[in-house]
Amino acid sequence: MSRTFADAKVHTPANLEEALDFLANHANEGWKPLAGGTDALVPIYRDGAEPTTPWLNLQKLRPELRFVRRTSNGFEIGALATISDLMANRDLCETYPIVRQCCQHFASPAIRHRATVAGNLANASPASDIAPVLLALEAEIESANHAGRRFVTLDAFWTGYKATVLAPDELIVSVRIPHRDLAANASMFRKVAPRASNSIALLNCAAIGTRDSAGTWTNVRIALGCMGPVPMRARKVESAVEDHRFDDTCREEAKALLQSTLRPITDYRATAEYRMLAATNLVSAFLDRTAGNWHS
Amino acid sequence: MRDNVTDPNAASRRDFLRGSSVAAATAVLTQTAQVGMDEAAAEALATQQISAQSGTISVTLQVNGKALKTEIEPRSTLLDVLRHRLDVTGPKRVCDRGSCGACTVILDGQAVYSCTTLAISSQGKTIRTLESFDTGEGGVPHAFHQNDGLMCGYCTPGFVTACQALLEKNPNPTLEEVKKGLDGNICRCGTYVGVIQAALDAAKAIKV
Repeated sequence: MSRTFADAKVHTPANLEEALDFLANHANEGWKPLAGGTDALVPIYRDGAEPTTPWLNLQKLRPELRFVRRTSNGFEIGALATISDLMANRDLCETYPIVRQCCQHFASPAIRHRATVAGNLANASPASDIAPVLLALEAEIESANHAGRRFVTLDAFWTGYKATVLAPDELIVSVRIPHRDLAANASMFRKVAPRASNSIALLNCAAIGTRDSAGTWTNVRIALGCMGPVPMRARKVESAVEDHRFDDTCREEAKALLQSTLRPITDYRATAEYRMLAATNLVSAFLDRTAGNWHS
Repeated sequence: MRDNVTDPNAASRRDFLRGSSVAAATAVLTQTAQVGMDEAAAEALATQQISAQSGTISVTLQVNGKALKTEIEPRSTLLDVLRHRLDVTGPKRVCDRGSCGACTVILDGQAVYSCTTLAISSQGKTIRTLESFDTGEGGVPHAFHQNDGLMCGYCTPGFVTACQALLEKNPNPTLEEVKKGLDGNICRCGTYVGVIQAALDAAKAIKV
């Protein structure tokens, strides 16, 4: 039962600077950052598979990178803040109720205590639960290498299935949510999954916007997961409903545009047809909202 | 749990298994000697054994109030180190992929799955397993016993640990909060009704 990985490499730098220097000097050796490890460690140990990836264990960077705070420009989520840390930040959860809704549906308490927000994004799974929420809030990624820092918007962060713009010598430093939706009065997070906890989503959807008393939508942003190789915004639908009442004509137009945007696949979790139908229903349900049912 | 064995002569199941594996190993060695291993092969085997240990490092973990030191490979999970190195066998290995909760331990006050946590990342933190819980009438294990919160019992250490972590944070949970708090643990026998009642009863007992 005891497995031995004598050649398996794990390096634990003492701080961010040391981590970035190490990556600069070993850029072509395949070192992968390890944060919470809740997904990264699964295929390594599963079924006795031999580990091949050398891990850069970021545990000691926690004092520097584990924080959730409000700044003048928005909220800053440190790269090692966990999903539990997000839930525990009342300011963030009250400002954006979809953050709390999403976290409550995120795996299970034991996973939320370890899994990091940045790790979930860097993992680049199309089924990430936090990704659609951060996409809808137009979050940005702040990353660093030994030479300096850069910002990339989240919708430009993923380049394909399980792929990101991060270079081998680069680490995420923080995730930033701009103060863009403070006036939003409606939001929604939905996850379709076979079980309430520890399930991977068949699809998920996050949406935020403002609807006035006449029923006209503004600043609508809708993001979906599991509907293509990466989590994506439904931009065509957003522009179609912007400054419009969501009536029958608008609904049909939005539906057609949504279905032309999404590229779901059939896999062992669900068929493409099911995903398309469920996604269409979720987006319509959000846009149909009226007073008294704004955030849920 | 073994501290509860009252008869000092009673051998635990684990001690029995350990004893029989030593016997089996001895048998194999004797057999090798009989067949006659040539010197070069024996040396090669010895070298191999040394290199297999060369990747180990020394760690000290704070488990149930004791500082335990051992040699591990850097990539070892906390679960492996607890069970195989430190003989703390409360946390169980079941799915080994962070889905079932049988390996739950309390790390710095938070329930985590020890199968997807590296042991080296657990240094300097407080690790608690169900071996350290109060087994008296006010404790969580007693509430499980009173409410038939188990059938085969394999998931029970995880449930008890998750329940303890939940009640330490929220001593007065609602039914819904108990369900949410324990939803990272799975019981294949399906004895959830007993488990949930045990959690609610334990909460009451703690308040008294």
